[in-house]
Amino acid sequence: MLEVNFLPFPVITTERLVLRQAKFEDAPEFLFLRSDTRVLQYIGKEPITSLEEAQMYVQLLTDNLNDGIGITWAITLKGDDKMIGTIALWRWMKESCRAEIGYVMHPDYCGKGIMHEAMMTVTDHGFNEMGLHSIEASVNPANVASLKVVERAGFIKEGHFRDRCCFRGVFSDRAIYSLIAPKQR
Amino acid sequence: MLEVNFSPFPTLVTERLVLREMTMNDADEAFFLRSDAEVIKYVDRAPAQSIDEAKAFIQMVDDNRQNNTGISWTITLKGDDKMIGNVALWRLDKANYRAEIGYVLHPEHQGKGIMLEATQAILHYGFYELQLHSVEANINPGNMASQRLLERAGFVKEALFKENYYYDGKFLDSVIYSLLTPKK
Repeated sequence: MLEVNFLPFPVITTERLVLRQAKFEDAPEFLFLRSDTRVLQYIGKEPITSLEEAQMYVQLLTDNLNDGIGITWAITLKGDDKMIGTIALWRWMKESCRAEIGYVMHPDYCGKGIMHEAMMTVTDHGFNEMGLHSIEASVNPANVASLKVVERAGFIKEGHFRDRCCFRGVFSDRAIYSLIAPKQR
Repeated sequence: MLEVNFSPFPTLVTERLVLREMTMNDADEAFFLRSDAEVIKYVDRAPAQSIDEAKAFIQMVDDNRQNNTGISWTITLKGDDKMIGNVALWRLDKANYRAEIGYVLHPEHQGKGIMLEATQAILHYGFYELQLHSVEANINPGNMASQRLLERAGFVKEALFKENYYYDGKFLDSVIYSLLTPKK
């Protein structure tokens, strides 16, 4: 059984990014990411409508972190603390050393390899620091940008679930990708 | 969001079988089904060590039913109340109208189409009574009998997950099958 402890929060720095803990001051950015129709298009969640809801969401992420349920990093550009997206390892299957990766990005910052940079460092952290053996991604096959991100990171498509998710009475498929930890030397 | 209510317990009757609620009187048979090496060969879970563990399992099945998180039927032959297997709809994903099917059968009764008969009865219940949209099955890729059963019941193989499950010192692969509601 994988022993998971997300504290102290692992801030990660890459060439262009700082991945840090989400905080209440990020509420306006969370409100945007969880209400903008472009961002939500393939996610299948109802939009949130107030800063208060965004703050409750930050609290939920904090609780999940403290309880060892899942970890979410706020993505920021170096030198600018404003959150432009998030990347998370959640749905931990601790007996099987497996977790799911989830990610979302402000549309202004898409197409610049930022999510690729965040994903490479988070998967690396998951395998080498957190003891994961595999990481799964569940992607709406219509979400071409998301498919590109996982494929570029080396994930392999292992399944295609028909009508896997229901949102407002409409069912959509999910492509399931996975990445297995590099072999130990 | 799917709403379910498993009380009162939905006993199902087929040509040869009665699928009934599991009770503590099934503890001996449940212990066999959860400890016999042949039965659990592909279950990839530690064998039950005692009748008490089987009783704890029966209690958990009842708790899940009362909480409406899953339902398991004891399989019996008509005219003989003895448990010969069980079949379940569990891991209910209510937001997505989906459930997972699980099943196990005493080796003496295998190869007679009994599990297919039981499976079809609970799938009919799942799709027409519960209003599920899809049912998935998660099996060990080496379990050919289970694979044949699912294919006969109309399931389609949708995924082969590599090393996604850890048991007994090894990371194992899993095959996922699914069946969509015939009500479309």
